[in-house]
Formats: sequence, structure tokens, C-alpha cells
Amino acid sequence: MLRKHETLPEPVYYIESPEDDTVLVGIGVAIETNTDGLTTITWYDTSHERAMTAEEIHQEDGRFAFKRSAAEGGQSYKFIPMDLSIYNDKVKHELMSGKDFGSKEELIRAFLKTAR
Amino acid sequence: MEMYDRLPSSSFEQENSSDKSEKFLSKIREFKDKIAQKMGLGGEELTKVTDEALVDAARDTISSADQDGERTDEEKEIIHDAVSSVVVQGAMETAGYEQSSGENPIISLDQEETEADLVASIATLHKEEVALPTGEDVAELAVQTIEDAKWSRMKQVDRAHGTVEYIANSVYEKLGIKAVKTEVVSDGRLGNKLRALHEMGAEQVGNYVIFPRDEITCDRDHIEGQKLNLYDKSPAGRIEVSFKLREGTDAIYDKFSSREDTTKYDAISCWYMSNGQAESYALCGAISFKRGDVKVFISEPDTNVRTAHGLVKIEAPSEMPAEEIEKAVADIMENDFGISDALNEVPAESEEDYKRARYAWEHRIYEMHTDDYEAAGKLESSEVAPGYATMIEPGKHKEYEAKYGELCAYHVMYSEETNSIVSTLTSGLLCSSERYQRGIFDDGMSTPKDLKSGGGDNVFTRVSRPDHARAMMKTTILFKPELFDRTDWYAYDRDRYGSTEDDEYQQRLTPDQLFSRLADGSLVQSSNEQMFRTGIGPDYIQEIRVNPAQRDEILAELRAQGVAEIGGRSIEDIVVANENYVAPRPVDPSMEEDWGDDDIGNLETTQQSSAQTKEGILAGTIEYPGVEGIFDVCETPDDVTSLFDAVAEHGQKDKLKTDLSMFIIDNIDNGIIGNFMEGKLDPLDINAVIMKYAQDKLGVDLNYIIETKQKWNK
Repeated sequence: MLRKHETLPEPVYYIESPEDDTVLVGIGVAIETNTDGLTTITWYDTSHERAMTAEEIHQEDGRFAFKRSAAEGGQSYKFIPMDLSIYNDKVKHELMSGKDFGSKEELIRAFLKTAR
Repeated sequence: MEMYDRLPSSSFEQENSSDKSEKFLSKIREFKDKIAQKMGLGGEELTKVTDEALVDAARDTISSADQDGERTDEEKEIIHDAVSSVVVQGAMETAGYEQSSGENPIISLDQEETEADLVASIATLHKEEVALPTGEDVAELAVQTIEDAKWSRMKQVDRAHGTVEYIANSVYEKLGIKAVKTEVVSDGRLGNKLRALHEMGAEQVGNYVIFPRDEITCDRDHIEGQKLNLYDKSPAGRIEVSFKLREGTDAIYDKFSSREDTTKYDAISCWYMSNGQAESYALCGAISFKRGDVKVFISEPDTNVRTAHGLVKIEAPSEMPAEEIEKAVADIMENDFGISDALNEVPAESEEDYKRARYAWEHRIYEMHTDDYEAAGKLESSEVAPGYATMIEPGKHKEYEAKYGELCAYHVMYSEETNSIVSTLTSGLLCSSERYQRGIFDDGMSTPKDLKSGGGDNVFTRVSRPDHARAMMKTTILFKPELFDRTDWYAYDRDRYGSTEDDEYQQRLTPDQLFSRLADGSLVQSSNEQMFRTGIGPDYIQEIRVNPAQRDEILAELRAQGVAEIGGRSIEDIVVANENYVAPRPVDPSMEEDWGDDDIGNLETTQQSSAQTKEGILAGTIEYPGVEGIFDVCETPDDVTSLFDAVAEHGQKDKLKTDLSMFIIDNIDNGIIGNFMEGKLDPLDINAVIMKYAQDKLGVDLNYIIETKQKWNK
């Protein structure tokens, strides 16, 4: 089996899941399939790395979604490229002290600065 | 015993305080004389036997009266006299007028079946103001005896109603009295540590002002981890002492929330410095009250911030002298929380208890056996992160590795900044809650979700075999297996975000369960998680695998800071070039396109369409979908090369060559290209497959690719 590694094109995503309220922001989202065929989705959420095995993935035109493996709970996750509109509507109020930004670039750089 | 009978009954008389005690003292003397005569005892031994006789007589009186389930007035009087005799005798011993070689009889009578009568007796003696001949109040001496014997640490837990009541508190409430001993004495440890922290001062690191921290070990029965955490936040005008109550804040919250001097809607906040100004983030709701200049915060019992469960914070102005802060904290612990001697050294017996509790928690043991007690006794306290100590089982990792093979905990870093990597190497890793307490606030752009899940009190790692950890494509820290000697970590077989929710927490794995699953192959190495409390110190770092292009810069910065070794090993051995490193995508400054919030539809498996696409490309009936489109439908290297061949055969060879060249330029780091050219890359790695095909079948010059990337700064 081929080992594949792919990083999603956008540096920061907004993440939604109807079954998992611990997700919000994904930085450096990557999809890796190992030589046993196991696919793992990883990202940094401003505090910790998250890692989940995926049974199904759907990727099209920059949009991405996956279903977690049944063994890990089977939750569904949707990744939407972060922009100012999404940030102001859905993300800012969930942060420790979300700030206002004048451009998407400023916003993205602020999230990238949280990386450790 | 036959030589004494029950104490004769007597009716109450209106006498003065001392006379009333004399009534009981004379009866006690009567007992004592009889015993001395019969047994020929004297001194402390005589007092001890007299105490035992008085206690037995009181118990017999109570059980006899309760045989028919109803007490007559005469029986009540007899019980009162018998129990009060015990109380007066115990008060004499506490006051120092009697010396016994045994236990104070008040404590001996402190049993479930006699407790109610004991408390009733004390209440009556208090009401009647019965005093010793020398004037000391008998009831106050009795309560002091109870408190001194740590009766305050016994509690009744009504789990059905979620209440916890400290018995000594109930005694105080019922009697409305205070123990004679009101002077709170502590040993100066807290004050000394606060002074040391103040001298250390806050540290400016980049944009952060980092407050110094220390801790003292203390009372174990009430306080989680036996620790008080100390923070000098002088730049923000405050000194903080914080801890977590083992049984949560329910009882203490209820006690204080009804008081008039309590602020009902307050918050426990994390303070940090931002551009020279003190700012705060409200961690959780709380009530608060003041004791002089010192403020006490008690977290809401039902807060949804799990890292704040049981949290209490005592905040003093930074200009307050350390010894005054220590006295204030000791007074608050004693008089408000009912925790005696909270700041003093932990007695040896308590420490042994703690070790057993720690060991049982770590290994999820519900019934300890001889081997377990032995193992627990060998735990040692060790500083595992700067300023934080916990119990470790020295050498336990060797047992694990002997049973389960080589073990490695690893942690992937997402920061590419040299400063961040160097800071990790010199200071280790800190959990979120500790970072916020220390003033490291990331401009507020972090989510507090790990504080809510409970994971925020921990540093996260994953466990794997070393070769898996070394295959990570980012900056990756591999820890020494000694890390598993700690007894303050828990583990899950999947990403649960370190949750401490009851349902999830019950599914945590013991170390043996975790490693056993690693050994049998049922543990996913890339998505399990371990949570290490508070932090992981730099001495635990075995190696850090970095961008090869950055290694020299990191080493130079370490040397500039005077760091040549970490944990006894040279930095050159610890900072290792990661040949699998893949650089993150650069941020595109022109990113203004909004994707919107389109629903991408239902998830569906791509397996069926992948097979059809593959067939179509091979047959030439489906248009060449680009390099990434080919990767999406392939599962093996042979699949990839077959489709490449097919694309070339169907007239798209030049396009394929261009696409593969651009793919390599955009996605494959020069370090990886170099490794491939030196034969160091796994042939099954997609990068290796692409470069081999591009070079061998399409004539792509990889050296030219490297030069092009350097020219374009890619």
C-alpha cells in the first residue's frame, strides 16, 4: 500500500461536527494514509494536535469532510476554509479573547501564531 | 470489666460551672480509685485503664437503653452522665491535667453508634457552661480534642444528594462555638517560597511576561495532589495561591454563598500582561469573600470548565509581605475551610497514604494487595517539570519495555519558529491551564475547549514504536521512556481531547492496557493520546526531529543561550535532522477569496468511483485528471505508475512531465529530494514513487528542480 501525505490547501479551517463539540479551528490540516491503508486526519486546534482515523473522506474544490472510523466513534467533520465572515459569525465568540481583523491575511496569521 | 458498674445516675442541679464539673470529676475519681485498688496501677497506665472503663460504661449505658428502641427520661439522664464523664475526663487530658498512655476517651467514644450522644453531651455541657476547676470551658476543650485528632477530616458523603459535610463543621454549627485553639501556626514554608518567587521575578520572553511559579506539598485529605500552587503575578499587582478541593467545592460553596459578605457573581480569572497592561480572562464563575486585603474565590461546583472543578484561589496584593500572606492563607484554611495545619509539612503517615492513593489511581486498582502496597511504598517525589513535582515509580518503564517492547511517547510541534523550538528544549512543555496561569496568553486566539473538556490540565502525547514517531513529517519530540515512570498520567486509545467527563474517563486505559494494545497491534499509533499533568520537563526529551535546514540555527541559538547539554546529553545528539520533514504551505498574501458556507453534501465512499476512474484512465476513456486526481484513485505504487504509463501512452506525456515537475516543486522539500537522490527514502513513499517515475521515465532533472526551488524560495 502506498503511503500518502497531503496537506489541505488552506492554512486554517473552521470545523463543524454535529457529534463533537470539541472542534472549532484546524491549522495545518493533513491527510495521511499509511502503508496499511489507515487514513489519519491531523490538525492543530490552537492548543493541541488532533488526530482521527477516517473511514470516508470527501474532498472537492477546496472543501473537505470526513467520517471518523466506527472504532473511534463514527462522528462526521466538515472543514470550511476560514474567512472573516465565518470567523465573526462562528468562531470569534468561542475564543479566549477573539479580536477584530481587517483582512483575512491578518486573521490567518493570528491563528498561525498560536502554533506551538 | 467486673470491677466497676455503670455510673450511678444523678439529677441535674443548679450549680455553678465548676461545681457541675466537680460532680463528674468526683465520679471519675471514684472509678479511678476502684481500678487503682483492684489492679494496682498508677500514673499514665491508670489513667488509660480508667478512660477505657469510662468509655465502656458509656457504651453499655447507651446500648442498654436502646435495646427496646425507646429511651426513658431516666435512661437519658444516665446516658448523659456517663457520656459527660467521658467528655470531662477527655477535657482534663487535653488541658494537661491528666496524662494517659492511651487515646483520649473522647476520641474513643467517637464512633458511629455513639457520636450523636457525644455531640448532645458536648452541647449540653456548653449550654450549662460547665468548666474545669481551673476555669477552662469543657465543651470548648472537647471540640478542640476532636479537631486535634483530625476528626474534621472525617466526612459524611451523601452521594445521592451530592453533599459532603465535614463533621467538625457540623459540630461548630450546632454548638455555635469555636475551639479553644485559635492561634494558627504554620512553619514558614509558604512565606519562604513566596519570597523566593518574588526575587525571581517575572520573565519577558518575546511578547509574553511569564509569571514565576512554585508549589508546596501540604494536607492530602482535602487538597488534590497535596499541592498548593503559588504564582507571583506582581506585574499584575497580585500574588496567587490556588488549589483544588478533592471533593469539589459543593459544600464550601453552599456554606459561603448564603453569607452577606460573599460576592455572589464573581469569577476566577487568569491574569496576563498585554502591552504593559494587566488583562484578565474569566476562567469560570465563582463566589468570593474577603479576609482583610486578601480575596478568596471559590469556583462554581457546576461550572462547565472541567479544569476548574474544585478550584479555589486566594489572591493577595503583591505589596503584602510574604509572612502576612502565609498567615492569611493559614487562617483562611483553618477558620473558613476547616483544614487544620494545611500549610505544614505532611506527616510521614499521610505521605504513605498519598503514595498508595496515587499508585491505585495510576493503575486503576480498587483493592490493593501486598504487592501493590510494596510497590506504592517505593514511589518517590520527583520534579518532572520546572516547579512541578509528582510521584514516580523509578524504573517502571523498564518493566513495561521488558513486557511490551520498545516504547516511545512523542509530541508533534506545529510551530516552525526557532524561538519556540528552543524554548521547548530549555523549558519543556506546559499544559494550557498552566500557560494561562503563567501569563502566556497567545493574544486570546486560542480556544478554551480543552479547559472545558478537562484536558487543559495536561500535556498531550501519543505512544508508538520509535520508528513510527521518527516517520512524522513535522517537528517532532520523542520522549525518553522514563516518562512512563510518572504516576500522574492517563491514556485513551483514541483522541478524546483528554476528556475527564465521567463516561469518557471511565474508559481510560491503564499503562499496561495501553502498552499491551501497542504490542498486539490493536492500538492506532497515530491517534491514541496520553495526558501528563501540568507539564513535561526538558530532561525527558530524547530527541527533537527538526527541519534539516533549521537544525544549525537551533543549535546556534541554544549555544548563544549557554545551553550545551540537556538532561546530560549534548544538544547535537538531541536536535536531529528529520529527513521526513515536510514544510508547511506558505501563507498566500492574496487570499481574499471567500469560500462561503456551501453545504458540500452527504459524505459518500469514493471506492466505487475510484475504480471506475482508474479503469477509464487506463483505457483512455477518461480525460487525464491531473497528478493529484491520479493519486486520489490509487492505492499502491503499481497503481500510480500504471496510470502514469497510461497517460503517457494516450498522448499526455509532456503534460504529465510538466505536472509532475510542478508537483515536486510545490510539494516536496529539497531535503526530501536530496534524501531520495541519496537512496534514503522509503520506496513506498508517494514522494519516492513520483520522483523515481519523473526522473527515470520522463527525464526530469531533479538537480535542476532543486535549483529552481531555491531560486523561487520554495
